[in-house]
Amino acid sequence: MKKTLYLMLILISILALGACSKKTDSSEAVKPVEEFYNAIVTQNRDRVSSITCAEWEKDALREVDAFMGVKSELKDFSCSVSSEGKDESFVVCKGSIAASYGAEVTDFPLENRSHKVIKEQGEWHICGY
Amino acid sequence: MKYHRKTLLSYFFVLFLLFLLHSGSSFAQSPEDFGRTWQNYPIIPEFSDTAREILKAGIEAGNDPHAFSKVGDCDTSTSWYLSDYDRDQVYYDLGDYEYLRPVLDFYKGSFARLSFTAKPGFSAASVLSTFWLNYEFCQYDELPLTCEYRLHNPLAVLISLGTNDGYNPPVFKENLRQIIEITLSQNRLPILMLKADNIEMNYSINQDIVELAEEYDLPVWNFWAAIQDLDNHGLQEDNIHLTFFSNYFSNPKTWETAWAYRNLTALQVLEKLQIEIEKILDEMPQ
Repeated sequence: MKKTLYLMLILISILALGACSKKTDSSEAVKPVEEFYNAIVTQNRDRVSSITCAEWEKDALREVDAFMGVKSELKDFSCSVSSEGKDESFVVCKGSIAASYGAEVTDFPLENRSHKVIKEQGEWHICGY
Repeated sequence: MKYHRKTLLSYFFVLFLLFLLHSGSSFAQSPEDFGRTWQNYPIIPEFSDTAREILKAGIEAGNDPHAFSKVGDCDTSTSWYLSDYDRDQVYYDLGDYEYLRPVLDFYKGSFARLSFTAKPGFSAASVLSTFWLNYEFCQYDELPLTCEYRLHNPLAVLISLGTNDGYNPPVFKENLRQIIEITLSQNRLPILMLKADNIEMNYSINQDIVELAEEYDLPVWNFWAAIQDLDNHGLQEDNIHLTFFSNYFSNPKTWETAWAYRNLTALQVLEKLQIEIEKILDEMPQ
């Protein structure tokens, strides 16, 4: 009886660990997307090359530069994995970029973009939307 | 005594440093000090054979010879820029420049049009960014620039960018190049304006503009030169925005501020363009 109980506990632990590790993997896929938007609002171009795939880096930098002349911040911002694969996933975000120039504020909702992220050398990289 | 000498020496040293700082900032105001070459460009450009070929190809491709688009930042999106010329004449008078009235008729509808490529805070990258696309009117696979071109179909484009690129000047040239490439690929003529400010502190952005203009043989509108005789070179205290009065050219006070020169020289550039377009239209088989 005791043995069975121990076995069940071990099984539950393994399942729980598996679930945790899977969750960690998902949140890892979200990271480059979140960092991309943070790079936009903080104008941190240096961060872009390490979070984008090579083919999309130039476009990503252009998107960052597109906000050079305004003050911007993220509002109610969060991202989650919408479709998950081993080496390619898709991430969606909520919230918006609020860009202000003087008193004029423009809101850029992020809901309609599905961000492609791919795994390169074990790391997730944003590769367009 | 020793203490006083030391204090005195420190005092003169600080004074010397202040002098260096001051002289550095005041002597470093001119583009020549940075080896720039664009300042002597004429205010109103001559159109090259290349420019004429682009116009001809554009007309043949169906681009509207009576339409121009505005690409730029807050100084382009504002209603002070050209918009009055599509409005009732109570908003402006042409004064000694009444000869420009045919220009207002020729491009009617383009002056006050709200461009998808002109917004406060726009850098050169902004018109190439999907974020700044107006999804109410534009398609998902477009850029602000291509959306503007599809909807307005201009034969020529007045490009007045660079001020907001002063926050990161090294990326400006490649983004402007991309704008030029897209514009030329659609047989539309880019006309590049030299900006009035020196936010980048070394006049490099106007240099980038003329280098691209020379590379592609495009007309340069040297607006910078038009306002150099004005107080603070036509700039407000922030050294960015243009000084403003009104568009009544018959009022002498108007000519103390930069906006009158911006609108006048824009009309003169458009007049030159109109002359070239009319020549091409005359030569084309009906």
